[in-house]
Amino acid sequence: MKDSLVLLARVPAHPDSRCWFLAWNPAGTLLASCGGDRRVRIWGTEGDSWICKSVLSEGHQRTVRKVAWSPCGNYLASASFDATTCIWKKNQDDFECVTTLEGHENEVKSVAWAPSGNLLATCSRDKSVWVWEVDEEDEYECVSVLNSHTQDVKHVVWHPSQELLASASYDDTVKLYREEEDDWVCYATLEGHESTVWSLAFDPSGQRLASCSDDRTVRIWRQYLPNNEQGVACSGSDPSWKCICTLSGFHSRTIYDVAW
Amino acid sequence: MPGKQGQGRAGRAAMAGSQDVFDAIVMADERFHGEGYQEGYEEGSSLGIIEGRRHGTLHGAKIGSEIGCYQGFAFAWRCLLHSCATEKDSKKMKALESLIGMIQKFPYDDPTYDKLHEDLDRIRGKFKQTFHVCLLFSAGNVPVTRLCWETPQGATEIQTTAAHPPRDPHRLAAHTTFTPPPPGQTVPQGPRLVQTQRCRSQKG
Repeated sequence: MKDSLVLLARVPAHPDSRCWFLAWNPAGTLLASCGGDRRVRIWGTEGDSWICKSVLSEGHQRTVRKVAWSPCGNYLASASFDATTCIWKKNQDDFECVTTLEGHENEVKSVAWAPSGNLLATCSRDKSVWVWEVDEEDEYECVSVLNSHTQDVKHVVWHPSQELLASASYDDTVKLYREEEDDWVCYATLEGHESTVWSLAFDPSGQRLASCSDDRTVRIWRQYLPNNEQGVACSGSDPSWKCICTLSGFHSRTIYDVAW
Repeated sequence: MPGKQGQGRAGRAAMAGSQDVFDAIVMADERFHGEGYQEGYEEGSSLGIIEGRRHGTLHGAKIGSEIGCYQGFAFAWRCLLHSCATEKDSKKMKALESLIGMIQKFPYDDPTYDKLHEDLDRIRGKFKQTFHVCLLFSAGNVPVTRLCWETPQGATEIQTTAAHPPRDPHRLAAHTTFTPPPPGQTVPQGPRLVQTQRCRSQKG
């Protein structure tokens, strides 16, 4: 049968606790998982079976909520409810914690690497989004603390080709940020969802943004540049994002994640 | 006949007079209600103004104190970094100047400024970023001063978080963990210089 999913393996990953997130490395050879047991596990194939190649412990004091691989695949960021984000460096089969990013006041909900590999974004229940810059010496510097949301920020994601950051929040909005005169600013707020926006995903071309929400809908937003042929109004030279589609009636409960 | 007419006119006048007399009694309830409402409204308004003024003064003082803290921090660090010339220090200076600029541009005398809370949030964000950049990347050049905040609860200093002893060379944060006083709670006392110690990265 074409295009059907076949279960390859069932792996008990995080003993007696929730597994909160999974992330494939860019090469597609390793799978990182994280969970309520405060550990990150790296899984790989050995022949036909999946085995745990590495356990990253001693990194966090509380649940690890999300893991994200850097675009080069050499680093893994782990965001935890202990308000910190650990950066792990891959050394063949071993991972070493090279730095811990502190600053958030409470649970870090999401972490994301920019496609360029030089920028990292984290967001937290403290309603803020932090943007970090990493230099060649693996030093992480906080370049901006954005307090635009009025509630818990659930998810951050970078645009695939522009230096543009998007965040989703319990305040029912999606906010977009970009760098203006050496500082990051929120330049657009996408309203429309009637409840918490749980996740966001840009399509590979970067022209559309999908958002999913507690209101059981998925919305698709599109970017319109100034002087676009569809006649969508833009203020000055800023692109404008409009909701072009709302998918409802497909899920009977909260939609927690979305991917193209 | 004149007599009859006269009687009619006098009779009508007498009736009009008695209407006025009864008016005061019949309308007494409504009249007192109106007067009472008026008095109450005036008293309520003046009490409300007093309470509002007190509330505004307190709230304004909290904001002023919070921003004053940030400004003091920025001025102190600007002095400390005055003579340093490394690239890291110039990044710190840029952040400090940006923070100072934001604080100076804030319209302190206009409580009806429509972007008041937005600008305040931006200042808070800038302060956190500047704090991070100044204190966490001071390895080597400038003596890292251990700043302690008096917590709203009392005089205890916020020291290193015992739960997070430094585990790796880059964990300077353990010495300088800062929890900003949440806005809305008691007025922060500001940074007290406790001691000076040189914190060096344990790299290499």
